Amino acid sequence: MPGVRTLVVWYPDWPVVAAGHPPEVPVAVVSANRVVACSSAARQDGVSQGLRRREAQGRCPELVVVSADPSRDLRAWEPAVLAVESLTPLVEVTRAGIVAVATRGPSRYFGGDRALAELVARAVDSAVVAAGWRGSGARVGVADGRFAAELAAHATPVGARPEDLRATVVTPGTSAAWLAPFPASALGRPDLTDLWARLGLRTLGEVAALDPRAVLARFGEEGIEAHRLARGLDERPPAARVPPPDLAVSAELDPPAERVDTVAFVARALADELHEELGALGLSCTRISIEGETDHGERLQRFWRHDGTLTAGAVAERVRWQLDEWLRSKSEGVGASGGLILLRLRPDEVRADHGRQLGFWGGSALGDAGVARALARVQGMLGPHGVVTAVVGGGRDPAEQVHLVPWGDERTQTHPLGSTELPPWPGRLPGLAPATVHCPALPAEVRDRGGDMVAVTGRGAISAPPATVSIAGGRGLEVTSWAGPWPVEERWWDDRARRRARLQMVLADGSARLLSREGGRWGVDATYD
Amino acid sequence: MFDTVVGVGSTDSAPRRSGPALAQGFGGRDQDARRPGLTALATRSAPIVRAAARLLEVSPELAELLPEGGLRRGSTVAVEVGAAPGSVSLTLSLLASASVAGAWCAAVAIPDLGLVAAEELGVVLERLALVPWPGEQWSLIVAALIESVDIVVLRPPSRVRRRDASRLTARARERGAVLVVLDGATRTARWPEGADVRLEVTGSSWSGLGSGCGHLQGRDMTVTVTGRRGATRPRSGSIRLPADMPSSFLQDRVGALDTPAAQVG
Repeated sequence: MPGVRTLVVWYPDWPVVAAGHPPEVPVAVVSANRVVACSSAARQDGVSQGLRRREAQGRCPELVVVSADPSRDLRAWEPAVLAVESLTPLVEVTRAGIVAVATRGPSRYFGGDRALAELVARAVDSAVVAAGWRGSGARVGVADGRFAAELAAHATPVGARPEDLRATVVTPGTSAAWLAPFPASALGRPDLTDLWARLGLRTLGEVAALDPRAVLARFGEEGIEAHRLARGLDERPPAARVPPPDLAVSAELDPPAERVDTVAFVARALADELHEELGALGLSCTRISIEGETDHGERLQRFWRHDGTLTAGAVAERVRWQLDEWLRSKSEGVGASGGLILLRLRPDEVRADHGRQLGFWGGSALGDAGVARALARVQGMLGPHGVVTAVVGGGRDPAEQVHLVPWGDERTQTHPLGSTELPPWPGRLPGLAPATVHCPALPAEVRDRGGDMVAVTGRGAISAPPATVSIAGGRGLEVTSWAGPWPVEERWWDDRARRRARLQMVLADGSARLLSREGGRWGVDATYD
Repeated sequence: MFDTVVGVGSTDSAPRRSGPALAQGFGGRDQDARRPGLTALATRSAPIVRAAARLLEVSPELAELLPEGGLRRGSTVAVEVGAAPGSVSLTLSLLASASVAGAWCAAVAIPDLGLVAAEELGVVLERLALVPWPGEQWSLIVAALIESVDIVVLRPPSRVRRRDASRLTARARERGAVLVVLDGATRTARWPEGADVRLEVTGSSWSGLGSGCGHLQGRDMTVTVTGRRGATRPRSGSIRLPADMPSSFLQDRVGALDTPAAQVG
């Protein structure tokens, strides 16, 4: 049985598009010093995926290098996914730049694979343009099975004019034959296909001709998966993203309710109804919107959140509190001015109900999920950069060594694989790290015994031992012990050059400071608080 | 592990086995002979830590000083930013053991926190969330974090209203979180509520730095702890940071250190 008839939308060089660069500028997106994507202009100059950054820059000197950011790519891709979702409901996103749809239903509705492909391509293109990105346009492939459809999308030629249809449709049932001439390396499993190439299996057709039992015996699970793909079958059926059903429940109140206790009965019944509906779907609600309408046409709405799951009783209780507030403040002119005619409960945030397993000695087994929710909530209040997490990497100063990433984004791996230690970083300060890092540095004055400003010479020598320090215009404090200077000269080859010398000092008040002299000025970079 | 299995699994046989030996000492009555065995069993099967007094682990040096030998869940801890420096390092070392044991921490309104130092002192950065600039609604944000994060460190950025403070303390008690307040960093932002434990660095001395040579290697801090409810008498003790560096080692090393560039040039 051939694979499920699938349509794949592929947007070429999506990481480059999402970085905001048009295709005619030579751009390379780099991760871990290797090119992961490049624009067509860069490709013409010989830049390709997997190239080292230096080599890519050597081949194309005017290359713009952008660092890879998968979460940015996905965020930018979302409008395109929504555009496809507006045509057909079951959409699967594999990664940024690729969307797969099972075509059986939509093709019948829109009048064939070709018509559907055309519609989808135009929808994605206009969504991308509307979001302010510019690229070479989406390509669409339709075939039996996802793998064949993705290859078909890749094999679609660039049309000479923008209105040309950029889609390849493989006739149903012929995917295996269509795949046969492609090289085996298209499977994207280099270890396996390198071995096959050495065994003389160079095309997918040659691979497909093998006996599946022999492939399984010799190459195991991975081998048989690749073999299935080569035969135009599915590795696995596309998983579906189902839009959440409308779960709101509401009740009309006639005559309009003026008192809380009359509504409270209705609220209890509504909460039970909602709870049953959610339970039938295996969902639980963590945030609920309580909405009311009055006979004066006012609309009132308030969100309530619960750390765990809102039970029917908890919902009813919250509705009661909320109504109490609305109806009581009537006299003060802030809440409802008339009686309530409609009450609606709408679950705003639902998640799969895993149950809530409490730890053996108290504490929640889902502790991490709870933390994630709390942090997401704070991010909702402050924006994504409001909650950050730190990754310590290489650098010469305490401030440089820390890289802050928004919570939820990937913590970039700065350590080389397999080692927990950072590689040596020449010019790094020895000893303890300071517990307080001043950014920007506090201005300071460092004087010697004679009262003259202490200087550091071009060769990194200090003019006289420091005797007193005054910080931010404060009183002069005696220096009890000190060490340094540790000179550092960075990026002397470009316009971000920095030259400075650092000293550690313990002052008379017992505080230890890290001072630096840069451009003829002293500053307190950090305090060992 | 094996011990527990025997004790719990063989409720009957364990006391019986020790029966004859004990019977002689207790006048031969079987019931008496069973009692010590049952007591032993009861202690074995009791929870290791009672749910009410769950403690978050701290380093042994700090455990000696703290009235309960750890950070009790639901308590509020104030770290006084006093005359002697070291309050931030002390706070970080309070978090370290719990963080290694899997607790989640958050630092609110401390934009200048030295994160390399945090890692050095043992805080696991993957489980440390930072909210450097919470703005005016910091008390709402702390309240949201207390819901699920185990330890929340706060340096109040503006004046603290008594109502906010008591609400946060109550919320921490209810949720079993520990609220650590860096108190007195600015003159206006005092914590108006009492704290269950109050720590203050009363003395600090550095080692490793000479005059023009060496580098900062370690410090000795004198920490004074005041508690509540029968622990109001202040206790002080000395703490060495980083903990794994013996003091004699530091003294020896100062002379042998490489001379920095200043002395050469």
